[in-house]
Order: sequence, then C-alpha cells, then structure tokens
Amino acid sequence: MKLIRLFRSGLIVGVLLSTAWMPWFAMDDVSAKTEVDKVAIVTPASRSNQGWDQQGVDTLVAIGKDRDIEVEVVENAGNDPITPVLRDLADDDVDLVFCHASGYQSECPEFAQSEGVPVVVIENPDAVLDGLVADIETQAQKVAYLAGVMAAAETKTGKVAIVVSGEPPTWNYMTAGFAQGVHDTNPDVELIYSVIGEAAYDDSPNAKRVTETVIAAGADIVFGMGDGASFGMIQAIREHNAESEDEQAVRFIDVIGDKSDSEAGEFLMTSVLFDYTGAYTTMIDDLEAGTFGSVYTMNLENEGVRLLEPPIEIDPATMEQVEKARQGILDGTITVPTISDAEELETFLDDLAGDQE
Amino acid sequence: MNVIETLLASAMLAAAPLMLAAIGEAIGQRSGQLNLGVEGVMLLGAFTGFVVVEAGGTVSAGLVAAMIIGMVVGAGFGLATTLLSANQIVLGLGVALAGEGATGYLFRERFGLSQPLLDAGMSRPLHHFAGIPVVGPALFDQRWFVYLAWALVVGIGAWMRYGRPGLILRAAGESPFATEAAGVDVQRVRVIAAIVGQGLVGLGGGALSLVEVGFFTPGMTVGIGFIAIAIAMVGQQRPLRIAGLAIVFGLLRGSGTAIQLTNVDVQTEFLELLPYAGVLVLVVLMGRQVRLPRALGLAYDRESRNA
Amino acid sequence: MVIRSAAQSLLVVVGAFVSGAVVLLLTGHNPLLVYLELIERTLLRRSGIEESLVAMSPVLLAAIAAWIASRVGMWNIGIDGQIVAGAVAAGAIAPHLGAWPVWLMWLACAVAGVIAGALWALIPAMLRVRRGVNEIVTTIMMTYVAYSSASWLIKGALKDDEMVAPATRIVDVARRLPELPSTRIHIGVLVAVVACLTVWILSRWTAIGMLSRVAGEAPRAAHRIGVPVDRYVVTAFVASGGVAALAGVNEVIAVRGSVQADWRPPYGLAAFGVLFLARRQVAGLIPAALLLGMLEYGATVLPRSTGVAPNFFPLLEGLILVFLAIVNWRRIVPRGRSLARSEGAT
Repeated sequence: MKLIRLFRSGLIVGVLLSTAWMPWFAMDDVSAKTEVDKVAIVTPASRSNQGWDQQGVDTLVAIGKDRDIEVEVVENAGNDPITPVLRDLADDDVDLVFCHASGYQSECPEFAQSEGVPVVVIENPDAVLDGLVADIETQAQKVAYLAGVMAAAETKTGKVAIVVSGEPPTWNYMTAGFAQGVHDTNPDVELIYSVIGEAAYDDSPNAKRVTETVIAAGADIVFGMGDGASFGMIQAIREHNAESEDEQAVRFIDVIGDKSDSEAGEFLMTSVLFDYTGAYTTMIDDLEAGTFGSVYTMNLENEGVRLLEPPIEIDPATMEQVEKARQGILDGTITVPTISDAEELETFLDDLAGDQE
Repeated sequence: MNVIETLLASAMLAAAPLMLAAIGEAIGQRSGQLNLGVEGVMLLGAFTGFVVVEAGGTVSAGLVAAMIIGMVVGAGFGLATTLLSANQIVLGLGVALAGEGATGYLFRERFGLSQPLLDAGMSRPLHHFAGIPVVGPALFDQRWFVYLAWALVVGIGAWMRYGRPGLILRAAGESPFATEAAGVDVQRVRVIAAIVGQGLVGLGGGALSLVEVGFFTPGMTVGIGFIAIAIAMVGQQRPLRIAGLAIVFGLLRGSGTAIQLTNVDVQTEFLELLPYAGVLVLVVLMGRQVRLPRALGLAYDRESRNA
Repeated sequence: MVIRSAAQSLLVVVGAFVSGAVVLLLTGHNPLLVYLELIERTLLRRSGIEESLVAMSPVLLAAIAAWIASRVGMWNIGIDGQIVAGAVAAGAIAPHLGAWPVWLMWLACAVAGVIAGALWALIPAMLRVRRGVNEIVTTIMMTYVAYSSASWLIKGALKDDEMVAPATRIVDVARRLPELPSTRIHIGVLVAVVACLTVWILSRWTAIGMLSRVAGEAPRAAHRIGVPVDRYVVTAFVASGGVAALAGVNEVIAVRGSVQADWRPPYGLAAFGVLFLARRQVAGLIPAALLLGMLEYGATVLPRSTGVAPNFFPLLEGLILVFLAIVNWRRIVPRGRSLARSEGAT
C-alpha cells in the first residue's frame, strides 16, 4: 500500500535526521562572563506607544551607547510564550536580559535557571535568585500623590477621573497615591475611577469610549494609565477640546513616558515619569561586580520616578503646593498609601469617597 | 451630556461601522456566498482610510479609498469562488488572516516608531437638535457619516427586499441552477454582489478608524468582523433588524463603562462576555427561523450538470 | 497520486512565499535574505529544529481537531476557544494535585481538559443538529465567550496571588512533562503525533471511522442506509473539541505551567492551513503542521535578526490559506456540500 511505503520512507528520513543531530549534542556550552558586552530587552509592545515599552528600550539603548554595550531589542513580543525568543538570545551570547513586562513573570526566571543567563524581571520580588534573577519594583505612589495635588488644585469642575487599562500593582500604587493626593488637597473633589478592561493595555478604541464617558460625567482632568491605550484617551480629549470652549478644555496627566512632543502636548499637565536609568545601570554594575540578584526599587527618593515638567502653563500657586507636598513626603509629615492589590484599592477608594459624605 | 446620553450616543456611533459591514456581508450571503474574511477586509479598509488621511487627504477621500479596497477584495473573492470554484470558507479565513497580518505588518513598517493621531474633522449637521434629553445626543449629535450609514443600510436593505435586483440576488442564492435556466448569469450576479458587499464592509472598516476612533492600531477590529457575519445571518438580511442588532451590540459594549461608573460591582470581563453570548442566545432563539439561502457557502459550478 | 498532491501543496506554499516576497520588497526588505534566514534558523540549527517541533505540537493537535470535524462535513472554527477551555480546566485543577504522583496529575489534567473542550464543542454541535444553526457562527461566538470567561475566571477564582499578571497557579518545572533527553522537545509533541496516528487507525479500521466519512460526504444517502448521521456528527464534533483542548492542556503541563488571563491561542486558523495543505489526509498532517510550526517559531525570532515586523508571518499563513482555497479542491471538499447533489435530491 502506498501509505506503508510513505511510512517506511518517513522512518528512514527520521533515522537519518536523528543521527545528524548527534554531533550537535556536544556543542552546547554556556560560558560564564563577568564583563557585560551584550544585553537584551524584551517588550510586549513597541516603542511607538511612547510609554512603557519606549522608556525601557530607549533607556537601555542610551546606556548601551554610553558604556559601549551592544543592545538587542525584541519588541512586539506580545503575550505568547517568549521562551523561544529567550533561548534565541541565549544562543547569541547575550549576557543579561531585561524582561520588560509582568506577563513574563514565570518564563524569565525559569529560563534563567535552565540556561544560566541572568535576567531582570519586574514586580516579582519572590523570583529573585542570587546571580540569576534580579527584580525592579516601581513605587510611584508618592509622585502620583504629587500629581494628585496638582490635579485637585487645577480642576475647575471639581471632578477628576482616573482611567486605567488594567489593575496591575504598578497602576494600583499610582491610583491610590493619586487619589490620596487629590483628597488631601481638596476633599470635595470627586474622583471617578474607571477600568477599561482586564489587560487592555493596547485597547485604544475602548479607552476612547471610556474617556468620553468620564468626560461626559464632568471630569476635566484625566489621569490616564494605559500604555498603547493612552492614545485612545488622548484622542477622546482632543476631540472634546476641539469642539468646546477653552474653559471647558480637559487636561491629561500621563504616566511613564514623556509625550510632550506629541499631539497630547497641548493639554498635557504632567506625567509620572519612570526613569529606568538608575535601575538598569545598577543591574549592569551588579552583574559585572558579581553581586547580581537583588531588588531595585524606583521611587521618589532616588528619582527613578519623578514628575515631568509641565509642558503647558500651570498656575505658579499650584506648583508651590506641589513642592510643599513634596517636602512633606520627604520629611515624613505626609504619608502616602502603598496599595498594590486591586481589591484593597477598591476598598480604599470607597473609603475616600465615603469620607466626602 | 450625562452618562446615559453618552452611552447611547457612543452606541450609535459604534454601531455604524458594524452595520455597514453586516449589510455588506448580507448582500454576499443573499447571493449564496459566505465570506468569513470580513475581519480582514474591515482592517484593510481601516488601514487604507487611515493612510490616505494621514497623508493629507480628506476624511471623505479616506472613506472612499476604504470602500475601493473592499471592492477590490470583493472582486477577488467573487471571481475566485465563481470562476475557480475556490472554497469559500477557506478563502474567507485566509482573507481574514492575511488581512490582519498585512495591515499590522504595513502599519508597523511604516509607522513603527510613532502613533499618529488624526484630527477630528467631521461636522455634525443636526447638532442643533441635540438638546433633547436622553436621546438627543444619540440621535442628533452624530457626525454626518453616521446618518449616511443609516441611509445606506436602510436604502440598500429595502432595495434588496423589494427591488428587482434584490429578487435576482435572492434567486441566485436559493436556486442558482434554476435561476441560470431562467436566463440570469448567476456567476456575474455573485461577483457583483461580492464587489458591492465587500465594498460596504471596507467602508465600515474605514468608518472604524476614521470616524469612530480617529486612528489605526493593528488588530483594532477585535472580532467585530465576525460579529458582523453573525448579525448578517441572524438579521435575515433585513436592514432594520441588522441596524437594530448593531445598536444593541454597541450598547452592550459601552455598558461596561457606564456600569462601572454607577459603582455596581460587576467585573468587566463578564460584561465583555455579553455581546458574544447575546448573539449566541439570539441565534438559538431564532433557530429555525433563521433561514439561510439554500446555496450559501456552496460552490456553484455551472458545468456540473446533475439531476 | 501522493506525489501529485504533495506537489500541489508545495506549489501553494511557493505561491504564498512569492506573494510574501512581493510584500517584503515593497517595504524595503530583501526577501531572499529573509527566507534564507528563516530556513537557517528553523531547519539548520539544532535549537531551531527543536523549537519548530515544539511549536508544531499545538498546531498539529488543532489540525487533527479540524480534520475530525471536517470528516463529518463540519467546520470547527472554534478551535481556539476549545483550546482555552482545556487550558483553563487543566490550570484550575493542576495546582490542587500537588500531592499526586506526577503521571496521575498529567492524566487528570488531560481528562479535565478534554472534557472541557468537548463540552465547549457540544453546544454548537447540538445547535447544528437539533436546530439547524450554522456551526460557523456558533463556534466563533463560543470562542469569544471562552476568552472572556477565561479572563473572568483567571482574574477571579483561579488567580495566583503571588503573580502580578493574572494567571493560574503555576505548575512547578519539576512537575511538567519531561523533555526528550538533551533536547527541548517535551513529550506533548509525542502525544500530538500519537494522537495523529490514533486518529488514522480509527478512521481506517473502525466502523464509526469509516462510516463517519459517508455521513460527511453524503448525509442523505448515509441516513437511508441506517447510519445515525446526527449522532456521528455530534460525536465527531465533540471529539474534535476534546483533541483541540489537549493543546491547551499542554500549555499548562508542559510549555508555560499556567494560563494567563489574556492568552489568545493563534492556532485555529493555522489548523485549516494544515488541514488543506495535507489534502485532508491524516498522513499529511504532520509535515504540514511542521511547516506551520516553523513559521510560528520563525515569527518569534526573525523580527530581531531581520527587522521584519512579526505580523508578516500571519500574513504568510493567510496567503497560504488563500492559495489553498484557489487551487481546485473539488475532490477535497466533501461532495455533500456541492450543489449538484442537494439540488437533485429531495
């Protein structure tokens, strides 16, 4: 029968192929280095979102140029298993991989352990392993607090919206900090909190819809956390502003990146900037010194997180208030909540709203 | 505008691309063709329109371009399924996949390092009457394209049901051999149906990026294309039903936000379920009533004389 | 015969690659370089071959699922949803079976997954058989319902509290499917191949296997000779869902150890590519799946080395489907679906 013949030939080919593999078994070897020549960064989306992915990539590329280190960039890796990509990087003798997404939380440490290539993960302190896995935490709540102060001082309608594209710890810290900042500055300001979706980081159309809704509900300042979805928010604000009077214009507070040069620049109040320079530099230094494997926390104090200089005109009185608040945080007179869990956050926001009654 | 008004208004807006795609697909289905590639054609339309406007063209030019690209794909689909007896299902799936890949690819290659936003530029002709509470903004504060979409859907739908071309279309879909015997070139009817139908789908896609959202992102249709196919089937190719279903769908999608704002504790994921589950339920309820053209999806081969 | 079919499939692939080359040229890339790089990385490197085989596994399972459904004349477009159902089921129970012997845990996960996938396919199947509802629409809707339900469950009841991105509790590396010694090919790949062989055997040497073909191609005739067509259709569709679910189970017990809330498996459409590249012959499913597995793997590593955006590969797969559709398949599409018969018969 023809199929039997097919199977027979298949079997022969299979045997031949497997013998061809034998010599390659011997070729596997991973040499350990302490000098860092080549690093890589893997991001779920692309630099074009001018936020999360861009900050990571641009910072690493800049550091690479500075220290003469080759940087491999893998963008748009998405949410599918990235282990093949990681192995490919390992084959290319990369010394360190920055896994720039919480979605890579399990694969990267596993990869590090099986291949022996050090990785840097984010928001996963439990995975830290001496010499193999380091972690970057971002505690942006204090800077978000300052943004909240600014928002409460600047709002004309008394309603401020927080629009998020998910509820990971990074966003939650900021939401809580921002809310507290608004509340402490002016307890009568109403906070509108809206989640676009469970992991809607790139869902611009829905982001636009949600933003339109919060604007309709009266918010004139939108604190938006969205990665790619931020563009939906920005577009909603643009369209609203184009069709309204100047006094009714809505303004935007961004996170992570610096969009002042984009269309958003016209109504961008500030941004809670994430600056990875310190974190990345420390990681590379650690690796070279042999002390790799710790948690680096980016926050207000080490300027890993800071407020962007307002691209638009802000009342100097407001800026003074912000500065005062900043001092208050630094000297301990102001406490900012540290909330990373979504449920805790909901309770916290409810409590704040309850206070208003 | 308060929250309810915004909800209704955005539902109407979201419904426009969807109902255009649905009626376009319905035209094809009437003639016996099932095109599963709507998702891809919409994306192609969205991307083409976006590129035209980004390069400096007017929104109308972009929309026309979107429609043209839809027509081109429709022509390809129609010709392939009639002259080459191509398998409609596989071809449709291929178009869906290739369309999504192509637009994502071209977008990233061309706009890789930035996300261009388009200027909001459409007038709202009936803005004057938008003061009516609750339904005012939804009905009167829309950009002119939404009204055009309605006109197209109702007009084409009526034409399909009552006009002579509509009858020929239906005959071609139900009994192509008999229709051919009656002197109609069924293959030509199918090709024309595909061209017009997919042209509307392309237009719907253009509306998505140019009217509803204001920019393009890869994969922005998120299943809308398949919903359009479902609506076309369930809507029995009747224009008002199709439009109605599209609006309901738009409402379901927008309701998530509105509910959040009222502090009712419903998870967003559950709300995301609703539109799809809703279509399923509809399909089940309408079950036997859903009469699809008998020749839907089947290859009509003029040569094969049986019987 | 076999040679001619293989040649036709090869022609299809070449056609798709040529069209892809045109697209590459238009965007300033050198298609020859890109394709050579693809071949080099997927075939000429040991890691490439291994990764391609690993990538082949879910595609193969999905293709088998598509094949089973097509055997009875049905289109299972909801494969991705069934995969997710299987993955969620496995991901839900796996963490609780920590005390069980490993192989028992795997078995349990597989069973749970298959049941979940089968149930997911049951609804469209029953709707089709009982109420005549076109399964294409229902399966697509079920897929989206699956995605949303999975998100809801994984973000809620099944969430691993120690992880940031919502996912089910992870299965420890030590308890996952073992890999073939010194390779990265996990046993799930073998399972897929075995499944393929099993289906082949069943289709040729069991009554239901052979009669299901008649049920698919000439349902009225089959009914007249006493074949319970409806029952076969439902059984086949349910089996199809179960097989698809195995791909999801693999994700949990072999590949990643958990399911993430926003996972959208990209195998449903590729399955049809494989199905028709193989001319609906079971024997051809494996090489065709390997080809698509290579493309899947290529999509992850080629963007970095060639600068081509990853979306190029879905485009290529779509083109393969388009070319497949165009090449004349009159002998491949079950005759029951062609007009001639249905017009003539009552």
